[in-house]
Amino acid sequence: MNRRQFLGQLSCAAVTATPVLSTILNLQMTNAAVQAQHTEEDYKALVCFFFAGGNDSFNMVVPSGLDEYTQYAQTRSNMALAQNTLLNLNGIHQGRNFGLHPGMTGLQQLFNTGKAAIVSNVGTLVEPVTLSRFESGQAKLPQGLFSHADQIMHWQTSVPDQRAALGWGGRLADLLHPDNQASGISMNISLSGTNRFQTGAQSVSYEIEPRGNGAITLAPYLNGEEPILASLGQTAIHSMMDAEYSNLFQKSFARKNRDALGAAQTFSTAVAGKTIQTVFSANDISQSFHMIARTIAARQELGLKRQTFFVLFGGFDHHDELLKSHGAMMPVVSQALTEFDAAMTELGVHDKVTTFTASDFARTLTSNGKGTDHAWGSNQIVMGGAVKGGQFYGSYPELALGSNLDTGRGRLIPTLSTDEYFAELARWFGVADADLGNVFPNLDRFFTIGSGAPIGFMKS
Amino acid sequence: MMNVYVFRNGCKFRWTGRKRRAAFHVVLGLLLLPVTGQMDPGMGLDLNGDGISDVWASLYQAALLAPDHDPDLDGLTTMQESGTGTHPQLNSSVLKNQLLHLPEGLHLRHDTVVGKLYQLETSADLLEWLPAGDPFEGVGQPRDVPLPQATTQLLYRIRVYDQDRDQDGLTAYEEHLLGSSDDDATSTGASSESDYGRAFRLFSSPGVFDLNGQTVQGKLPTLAEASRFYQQAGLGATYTELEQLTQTGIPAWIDTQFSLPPTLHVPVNNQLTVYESENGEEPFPHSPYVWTWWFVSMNAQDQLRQRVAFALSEILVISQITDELEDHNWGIATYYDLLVTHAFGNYRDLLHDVATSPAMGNYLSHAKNMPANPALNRFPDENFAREIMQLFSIGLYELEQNGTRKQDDQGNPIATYTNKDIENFANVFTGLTYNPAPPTNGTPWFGEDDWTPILNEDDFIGADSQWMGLPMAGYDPLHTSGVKKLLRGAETNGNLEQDLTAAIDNLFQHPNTGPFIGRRLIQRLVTSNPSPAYVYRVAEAFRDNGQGVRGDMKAVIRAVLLDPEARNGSVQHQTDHGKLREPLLRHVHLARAFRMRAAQTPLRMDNFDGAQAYAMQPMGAPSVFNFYLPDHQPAGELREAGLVGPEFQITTSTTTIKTLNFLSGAIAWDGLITNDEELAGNDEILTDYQAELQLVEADNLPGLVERLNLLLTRGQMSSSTRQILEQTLQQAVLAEIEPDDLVRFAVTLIASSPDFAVLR
Repeated sequence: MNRRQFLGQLSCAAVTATPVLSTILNLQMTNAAVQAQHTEEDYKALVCFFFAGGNDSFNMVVPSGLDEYTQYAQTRSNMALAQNTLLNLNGIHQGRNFGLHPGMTGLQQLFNTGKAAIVSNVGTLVEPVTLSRFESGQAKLPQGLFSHADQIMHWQTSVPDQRAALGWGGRLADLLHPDNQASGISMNISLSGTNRFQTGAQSVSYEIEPRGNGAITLAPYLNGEEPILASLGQTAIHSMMDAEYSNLFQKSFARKNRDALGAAQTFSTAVAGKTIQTVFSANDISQSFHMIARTIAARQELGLKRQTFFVLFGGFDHHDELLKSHGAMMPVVSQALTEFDAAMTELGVHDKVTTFTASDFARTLTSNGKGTDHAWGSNQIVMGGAVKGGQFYGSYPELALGSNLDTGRGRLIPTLSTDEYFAELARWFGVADADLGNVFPNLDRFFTIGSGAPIGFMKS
Repeated sequence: MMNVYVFRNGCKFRWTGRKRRAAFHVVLGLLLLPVTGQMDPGMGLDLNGDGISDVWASLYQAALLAPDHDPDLDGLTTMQESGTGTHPQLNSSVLKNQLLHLPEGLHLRHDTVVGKLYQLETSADLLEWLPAGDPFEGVGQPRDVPLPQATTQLLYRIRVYDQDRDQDGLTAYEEHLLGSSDDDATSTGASSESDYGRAFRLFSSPGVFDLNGQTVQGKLPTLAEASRFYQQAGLGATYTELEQLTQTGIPAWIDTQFSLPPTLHVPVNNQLTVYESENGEEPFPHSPYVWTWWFVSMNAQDQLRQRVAFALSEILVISQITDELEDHNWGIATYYDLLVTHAFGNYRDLLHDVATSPAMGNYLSHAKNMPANPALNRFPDENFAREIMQLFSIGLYELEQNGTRKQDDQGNPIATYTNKDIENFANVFTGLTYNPAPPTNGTPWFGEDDWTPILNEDDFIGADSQWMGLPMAGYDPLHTSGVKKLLRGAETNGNLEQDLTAAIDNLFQHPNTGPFIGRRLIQRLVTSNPSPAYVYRVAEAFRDNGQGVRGDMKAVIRAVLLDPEARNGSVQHQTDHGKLREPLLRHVHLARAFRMRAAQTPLRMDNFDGAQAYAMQPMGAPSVFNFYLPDHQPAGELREAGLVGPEFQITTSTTTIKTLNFLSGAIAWDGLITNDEELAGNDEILTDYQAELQLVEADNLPGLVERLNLLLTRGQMSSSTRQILEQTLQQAVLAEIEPDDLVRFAVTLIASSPDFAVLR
């Protein structure tokens, strides 16, 4: 195949927006089948834990055997963690021993007890990429490779050859929402504001706070000191948000307010009575997971059989102060995951809730003296009772510079696509093989749909 | 813009002629089509938004004529005559035509007006009209148009339309009358003023001017127009300030603003520090910069400069929300003063000073950036090199001058740079360190061949000025030597200062920078979805201020604010025009409109910080990507219409209601948004509600609503909002609510409305 033919094929395959939308009806039929096959409580939740800024995940999961560690330390130079501080992960994986960042004792336990797994060298891909095709400029690459905003977008849409508006969580919600919205609260709940992951053609996210009862309700004017003004104010504000506006910005603003006002009381009431015995740390991240646990506890009041959650942990752009700052953040991640895992056991939904991590990209293996820079393929964590834990999936790369994945400075070409990673989760969530290609339009470039699980880290 | 006029008289006539080759029939028809003659909102000067050129209306004193009437009974309505450029009240002023038998064939002799374009069109069925021949220019006298031969019966008509060859927003017809050229957007040679800007100045300033022999009186802005302009160009006006603007006019206001000395933030920051120390509170560096920002924003006279500086702070982002900068309000204020200073300067100087700012060096980590040491697998930090390209100058993709993306032959966007380019630019930004170097031994702030700083910032805590006050210094021994490739084939091979100069110039001169920065400034000040033509006009002002200077911010600001898409009256009715105002600016607007201030401790501004409510704080973005992305598409109406609405990214199910609650509290409790009684009891907050109170005491609720409409919602309050307000306030009056509470309640309701939140 010459270059022209090759690109021609790509450009045909890359036209995805319409197919994705046009198959929603199709997917909704599948959904009915999904509902039918469950006899026990039909509930599943996916939790996306997003590390914004680009988590240096080659310092999160580190090869710890002598030879591999030596290679790691040589490449990473003054950004290498000390070998004797790494937390041992049980087992030999792909012929190697691995350790975790020293701040992740909780995750070490989760992994070693089979509750969590590592997915290696996953990243945004338009097609499988080889180093020679990358260097010759022939490889079709994600738009805005190495850029934060673009890679965050692609990790949330999994359509990196486009600037796609819809996230794959939103596409799932478009499929599942019709049977799933008794209370009017969206199945897509964000602890971290608006995001593309949960934006669908029909579905929107519902954003809540980590603390209190999640939702914010309208306060009475003057704190109720003039009760008549409090009640007149409530009515007037609702009326203004209900009114028709021709300007699209006003229309959009009014609708967002109207929806928020409408949902706040329902949500607060549903969550108010839910307490979790498991103790969560006080920081925002752990508190976000605490609120997710309470929301899951309120699933029946909210009328939701499928939910997605989104938590964003920012500040991973460690060009500077990597060891110190990353070192302070890894324990927060580990703690939140550990607490959440315990809470899911407490609620009896341990095998119904799967948490997965994501991030813009991993970082250069080499140092800039003070930190590391933007790269590509990264390592991620999956956690929950439905995960075949204690394992490594994908292929953890060689960390020597100049490898056949190294595009320079230790920016590694991913060997697993986000499509494969997310399709594995979507299958578990209830999407039939026949529909996978519609949710992930580029999936068949990496994996033969219908040949089983794309990666194999989920139990079913 | 493509208005159709058929040459005159009311009835069609048939002409039968003979030709040497074959007999044919030509039916010349005057077909009065449902022509509006209405102008395109983005073309021409139409400040009152009636769809008729203000230049034409002034020339023929037609402002008071009904657009759809035909007072001179010549067959064309006033609106249509504005399109043909003829006199609306003179029956003889029409575009006459006659058929001529010339030796070379049948011709139509047709009157023309200078500046208009004419196109002969033919049709066989009155349904489909096809152009015949090339369009031709109006010359002010009749032109003879050859009619093509035909073998069947054909109808002819002539389409008259406007053109704007130099794409400056004025039509050629208008430019001819105004004495400017339609081949040069800045043809009158005035610095930093486009021809549209000049026309705007003439038409909207006090006094008279000459328009092609006709004396025309300038029309000052109404209160509603002044209010709308002030929301684009300032941080919030009192009613008195709006009244003043209706006296001086917008052009004079801009001139005055350009001439005012800048209000700098560092001196205020220093005062705050002293104030805090004297009051026994935790001294510097713990007072947050947000107090400084609020104090300046509330008190500065140079409103346009402060407004533009704030816009720049959302484009060239640093944030105090980092472990290091949160304690360095002095450094943040110093950075902000760069934006304030260069807001009316040149973008090149701004880019250079941003690149050498110690706060930026700290935020994007190119301070103390070292050359590569391949033996140790260490390479220069790419952080700043990437973001100066992606966010501060050229963006990811090659742009047309109108801001749309260029495409390759596969239809894909074309990247402006590769990661190799970033590595080269990272080499340029090596060798910069904080200034002055530690006084101990004169060595720079990083060891010669050592990656460990001799000193680190911790040694300077409490003495910010030692390293945050001056631009970073270059240290050539730690600057990467050798050739650094720049973009578009350029390269540099000098010392730090030479390389820096070359790299900044390389980005500044890049054709993307004008449209890239221009679009962002339009989005901050006027509208989220500017048309390509609007972006083009601003990019042109960036490219050349009319006197050959590139990057003149005054020209760019004028171009943003004095554009048909910003000033023509009809744009506000377009459903896709406008923007959701930054919640912080909505808050400042309210505070300024009613002059909220502390009576005893005017420097205290801590009760104004609404970050917890509306997820926005001056210099407090979560990352270098600002609070929201310029291309954010919120779910729902805007996305379905293919529009962006950046500010909706922080408009969530909870920030919406928290913002309602916060602003309600700020108004109800006179700025004291805290429930902390101790703090609330500290001081009295003064407000100016006298005029509103008088209206309440005079039982004039409609008057109150209308005053607040002009002050807060630009005179654009929707009928539903007005109705809800009047009914609600009426009930409050019946409940015998005190006037003090009633006024604040009314302001709270308007502050909650979509009319207030959206600037259109």
